[in-house]
Order: sequence, then structure tokens, then C-alpha cells
Amino acid sequence: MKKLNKDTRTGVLPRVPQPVATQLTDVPVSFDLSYLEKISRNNLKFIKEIISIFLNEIPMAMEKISRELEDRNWAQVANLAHRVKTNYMMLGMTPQEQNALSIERMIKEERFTPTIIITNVNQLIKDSSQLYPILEQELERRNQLS
Amino acid sequence: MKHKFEPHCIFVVEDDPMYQRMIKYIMELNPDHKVHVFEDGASCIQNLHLNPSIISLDYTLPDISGGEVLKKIKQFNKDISVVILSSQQDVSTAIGLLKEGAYDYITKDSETKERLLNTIDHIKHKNSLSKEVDSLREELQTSYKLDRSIIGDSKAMQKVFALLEKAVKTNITVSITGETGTGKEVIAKSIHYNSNRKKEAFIAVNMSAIPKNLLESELFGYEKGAFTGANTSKRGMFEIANKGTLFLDEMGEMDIQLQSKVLRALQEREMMRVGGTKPIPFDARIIVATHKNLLEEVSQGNFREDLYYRLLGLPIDLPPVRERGNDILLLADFFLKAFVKNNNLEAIKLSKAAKNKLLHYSFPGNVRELKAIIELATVLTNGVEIGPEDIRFNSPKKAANFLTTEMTFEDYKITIVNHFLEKYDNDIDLVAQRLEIGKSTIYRMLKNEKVGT
Repeated sequence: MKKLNKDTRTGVLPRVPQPVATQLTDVPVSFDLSYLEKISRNNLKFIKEIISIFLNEIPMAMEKISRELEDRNWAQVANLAHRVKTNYMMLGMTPQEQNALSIERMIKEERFTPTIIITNVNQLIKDSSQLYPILEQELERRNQLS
Repeated sequence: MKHKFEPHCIFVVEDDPMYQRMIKYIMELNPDHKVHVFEDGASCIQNLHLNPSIISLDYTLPDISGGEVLKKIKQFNKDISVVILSSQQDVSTAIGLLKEGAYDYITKDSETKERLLNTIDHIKHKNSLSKEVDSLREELQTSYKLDRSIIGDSKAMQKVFALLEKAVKTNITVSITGETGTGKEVIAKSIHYNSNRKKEAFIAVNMSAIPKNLLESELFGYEKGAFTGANTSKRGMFEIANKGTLFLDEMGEMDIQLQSKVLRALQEREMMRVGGTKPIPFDARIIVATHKNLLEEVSQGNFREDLYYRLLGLPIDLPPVRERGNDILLLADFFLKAFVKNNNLEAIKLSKAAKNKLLHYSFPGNVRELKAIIELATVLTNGVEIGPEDIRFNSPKKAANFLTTEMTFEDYKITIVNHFLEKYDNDIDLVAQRLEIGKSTIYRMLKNEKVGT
């Protein structure tokens, strides 16, 4: 039987996505509230409430994930990534949602190296930190509307 | 049917504050929803006594897994509809939860709101149908309570009541006999709805209403390809009535060849579909009814003797209305009130003369005829009291049964002449000829307004 080399293997076996580390970037983060506007039919009070919850919860979640990362507690890192991904989805932060999903999957499927996870989690923390002041401004703007 | 308005109690079990707020918001879009929010599985389980009808359950909870919470909910009340919300798109997890009794599995994505609202609508529709079925079943059971569905305190009916009390306590086969219109089916239904089979089906089959060549397949069902046109297999009434009651009406009309198959089914408590090879067990209580004298049918060779004894069980003979004395007035009052209620009419009562007229009639069509007479009289009356002129006897059997009404000889003569005048379109010559009486007799009766009125 012909021995499969590395190249032919990918052709005949199911392709398993390789873990990819997000490169730490300084691309400005953004949000999109169209999802919340759609489900609430532009209910200003509800949207403000959700932004406030995000501003309360995500910094705490980032602190926790950072601590778990230091302790190399991968399962907890995955759980926290799992939990925050829908929060990013709700605020239309697709790259952050995808990053959280990728962290969760890599750990759960045991296809990761510590470096990759550390890089991706740090990117998530960085992006979130960048977003807080922007969201606070948005909250203030909406407060003035009401 | 009136339903008391009750808000739908909905639990939202979600530990993520943002998502929790969003699901609560979506659920509260409908003001009929009373929403309770819980952050973990334990508090949800502790509060099940609040009787939620729907639970939106996050699969990943901090204390117990969604699967475990689902199991506990179903153990508490299997009728609670649980919708799992999860960020996991793992199909096997979803299938597992659906098998455990989850109503739906919704992934947390941009379509969640629409899917969740659709699912909630489905659940509410299903719950409302289920409540309606329960309510109708309860209404049916109440309307067939022995003291409500069967009216009468005559001696003849007291005997029937005594037998009914015995019939409902066991699964014994009951054979009901009585003239047409005496209420054989009402009695059969009353037995069923007062027995321990009341939550199961009551299936009535009228032997005389189904063509002889179709009766076998109606009763026993058939397999696909059993005969031309049997494109699919079909269950028969014996199978459909399983665990319930099978009422075979007009049993005396059953073809003698089919009788042997019925006898075998009753003896073995299993039957075979037409074209089938596998015996199918059944557990249905059998009640039969006939207006014929089955024993006479047996002696004439029209009915199998062995089947006769198999079906005899507890015999209940329903007396004709004419032998029930004052029951006529009780029944008349019952039908009058029911008709008034069903048609939102003002209260109407029977005058003394109308009652008297009813008491002197033979009711060849029995209870069925009495009901029709009362309903017609209620429609015809112009006041709040039904007079004798509103009571009309139109039974096709009245000529044959007029002797059953007690009258004076003079009144019999008047009845006879009236009948012939009606029959021959007031042709006095012809009536005189048929009755072999002089025309002057008829003219004299007309002059005295004894006939033709």
C-alpha cells in the first residue's frame, strides 16, 4: 500500500482546521447595534440597558479569563470564552465573537498550544478594553436622546 | 365554553446577564406572559411549584447541566414545555435533549428571537388545544353522568338505573334492547363515561348503516392489498376502540357469516384484519343494542345462538315512553329547558293542557319523538307557555299505534275518520266508501266540528 505523505494525507482524510493564533492587531474595534435595534424595534431603554450590562459584565469576565489563563486553567478559559461570545454577537462585534468561538473550540477539541490561546485571549482583552470608552460615549449619546 | 384568563407562566433560566435580559425582553413582548428569571438550574427546580407552562433553558448553566435540569423538570411535570437555548451547535447534543423531552433546541444566533417566538406560539397553540380536549372530555363525562343524562323516576326506569349501577362497575358485556328511540345509545354512552374506561374512546358502529360488504373491513380493518382499492392498511373499529368501549348498534342486522368472525374475536379477545395473517389483541368493552327480539331471531336461524349467549351479558331492556307514566313530563321539561338554553330563548313552560295532551299520546317514536315534538312546540308557540295547539303529533306510526292511546269509543271514531280524511285529501265520498259508513255520518261530524279541524 502506498504510504501517505503529508501532502496526500490532506487530500484523502477529512481536513481538520489548524489552530490559528490571532495576530495582535491595533485595528480599531467597532460595534453594530442593528441586531439589538431589530429585536427591540429600536427600544432605546432596552438598548441602553444591554450596553450597561455589557460595560459591567465584560470587564469582570476579562479579568476572570486573564486569571484563568495565568493558572493555565484551560477548561475555565473555554467556558468563559463560550459565555462571552454571545455578548459580542449581540453588540455586532463579529471578529471578537469569532475569536471567542475559536478559543472555545480549540480548547474543547484539544487542538491548541498555550501560545495560541494566550495570544487570542490577549487580543480579546485588548479589543474589549478599546471598546469600553466608545460604548460609554454611545451610552451617553443615547442618554441625551431620551 | 368559557375559559378563565390565566397569564402564561414562563421561566427563563440563563446565567449570562445580557442574554438573560434579552430573552426576558423578548418573552415580555407579549403582555400575556408572566416571566420569572433564574440564574441557575437549582433555583429553577426549586420554583417549579409556580407551575410554568414554558421554560427557556440555557444548556450551559453554572451549577447543573441543562440536560440534568431538563430531566428534573420532566420528572416534576412532563407537560411543561422546555426550550433549550444554547451556543453549542452540536447536533448530537440537540438530538439527545429532544429525545429526553425538550420541545425545541434553539441556537443562540441572530435568528434566535424569531425562532423562539415561533416556538412559543407553537407551544401555546398545542397547550390550548390540549386544554380544550381536556375540557371537552370533562364536559362529555359530566353530561353523561347517570343522574343527568338519563331522565325518569318511573318504576320501569328505576330498574334500568339499578342495572346501570352494576354495569359501570365491571367490564361485563351489556346488551340493550328496546324500541326505536328509547335511548339505547345514550345508555351505552352513560355506561362508558361512568366506567373506568371513560378516558378512552367510545366507538359506535351501526350495523344497519354500513353496507353488508363493507362491514367486515369497517369492524376488523384491512391490510394493504387485501382487495382492490386497499392502497393502505386501515385499522378497524375493534382496534380503534382498544381500551375503550365498542358499541355495536342494531346487532340484529348483522349478517350471519360475519357473526362467526365477531364470535371468534369476542372469544379469543383478538382479531385479524381482512387480508392479515397476524392476530391483533384487543381490549374493548362490548355493548350491543338491538330493537329486535334476538331470541326470536335465533329460533328463526337469523342469529347464531352461541353469539347470542356470548353477547347477552347484562341485559338492559329499555321501556317505551308510553309505559313510563309521568316520565313523559320530566323528559318534556328536560328537552324544553335544553332547547331554550341552546337557542338563547326566554323561559318557556308547558301549559296544563299541553301536558295533558302529551300524557295521552302513545309516542311510537319514543324519546326521540318526544324531543322532536317539544322542540317544534317551542318554536311554534307565540307566548311563554306552550299550549295544546303547539303540540303536534306527526309520527308516521300514529295510525298503527292509535290503539295504544286510551280514548273513549267516540274519540276513537273521530280519530279514525280524521285519519282517513287526511289520507284521502278530504274526499268524503272516498272516505265513506273505505270506511263503509254513510256520508251523512261524516257530514254530521264535520258540522259538529268533531273532525276536519
